[in-house]
Amino acid sequence: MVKFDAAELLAIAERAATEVGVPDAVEIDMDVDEALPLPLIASAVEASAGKIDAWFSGGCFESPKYQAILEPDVSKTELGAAFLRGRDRLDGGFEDAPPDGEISERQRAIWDVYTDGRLAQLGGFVMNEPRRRYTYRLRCGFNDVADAEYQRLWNTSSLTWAGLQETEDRLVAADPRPATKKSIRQVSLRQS
Amino acid sequence: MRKQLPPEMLARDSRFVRTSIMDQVMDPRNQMIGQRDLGSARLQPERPAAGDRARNLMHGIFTGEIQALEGAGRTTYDFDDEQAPFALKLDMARQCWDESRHVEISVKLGDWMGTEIGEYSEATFLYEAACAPDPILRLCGVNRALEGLAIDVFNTMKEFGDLSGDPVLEFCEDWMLADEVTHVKMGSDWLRRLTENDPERRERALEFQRGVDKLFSLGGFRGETDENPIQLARKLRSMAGFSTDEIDEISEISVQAQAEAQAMAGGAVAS
Repeated sequence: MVKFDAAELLAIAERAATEVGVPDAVEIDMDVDEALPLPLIASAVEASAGKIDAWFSGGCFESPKYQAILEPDVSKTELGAAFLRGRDRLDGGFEDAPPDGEISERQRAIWDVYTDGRLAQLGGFVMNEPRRRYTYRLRCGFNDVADAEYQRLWNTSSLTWAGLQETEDRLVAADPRPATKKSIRQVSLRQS
Repeated sequence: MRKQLPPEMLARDSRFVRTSIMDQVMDPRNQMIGQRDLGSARLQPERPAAGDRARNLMHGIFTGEIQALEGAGRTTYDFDDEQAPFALKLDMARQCWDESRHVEISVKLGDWMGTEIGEYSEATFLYEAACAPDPILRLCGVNRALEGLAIDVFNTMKEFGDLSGDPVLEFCEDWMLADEVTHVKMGSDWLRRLTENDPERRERALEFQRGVDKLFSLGGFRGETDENPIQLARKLRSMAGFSTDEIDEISEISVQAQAEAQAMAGGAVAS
């Protein structure tokens, strides 16, 4: 269904894991759902006992210009982001965070900004900051409070799950939009 | 200057990559997704990957506006005054002015949403509807079918902006929607005027439009069910001069297009 070279993707994954500081002792298991094309970009990460399990839609690695073809630079960023969140779960302050399938879209959006900001600070990862800002605003609101929190999250190098929840509380208080029903993002795209 | 410009000669810089719309429609992954319980396919803010789906669609709107501009522009030049009255060409020139503005707005919306020019591939199926040698067929292909699709797409994006609380997207889509309603009305009015005494020519034009409407349904991209990301905008189409029967026909065509695409994709997966 896709023309991804498994060896090439694996090599990109190894580079990404090294550059975001995943220890060599940590085992990474990757699962790619090839049936989900661009623009269905989604990922989920779980981590425990020295192991990171990462699930990706095929769209995460697909070129937007050439159907079903691997886009190496964007792939490295998606992989780096997932592994960074895996590290967060292992020992980065998110040890008590619920599984990805149980966190809200807003919580995930906050975490994604924190993650992309760190990748930008690290360097070596292609970053589309305006895209991240737009997807964050969709989940967290188009208002001054949300924008200020975005800037703080983007520039911080230290956040915990408790801190993320406090951020979410501030965003909810400032969001004039009616509450939407619970998101089914990961449950919908990820096959059990 | 050349008349009747083919799609392969459209001016594009190196940022743009050309693709075939049929490759996208016939992507075997579409059928695999259709077999999963992913809920509604409608483009709504709470749906999975809503941000990237909206960005992808916005880029499609951007390239569509360029092609609409090119299509209307060609009609101002490709015909003599016997084939197309000066007043018709004046209306097409006015439409070019509108489409140019839409291109500019789409670029700004791309900036707003984090999408670069040329980030996604471009299919020229919209311009190809403007390549008919008969100006009446062009009016039906561009002003009724293409602009009619634009009404559906812009209305969906406007509602997306409204539900998500995005003031920029909602305002811009509403602004462009008003123009598209005018463009459809221009097409309907000229179709009626130029075929007043030629019912056979009118029927040929409407048959051409049905074919284009089917193509523009993109195998289920547009329709009236939860499986269709873009919803048929009945109220706005009515304002633009489409009759209830015409709208019902487009809805039925969309269902047929989706069924045919699924059947063909199923055959491709099986082989």
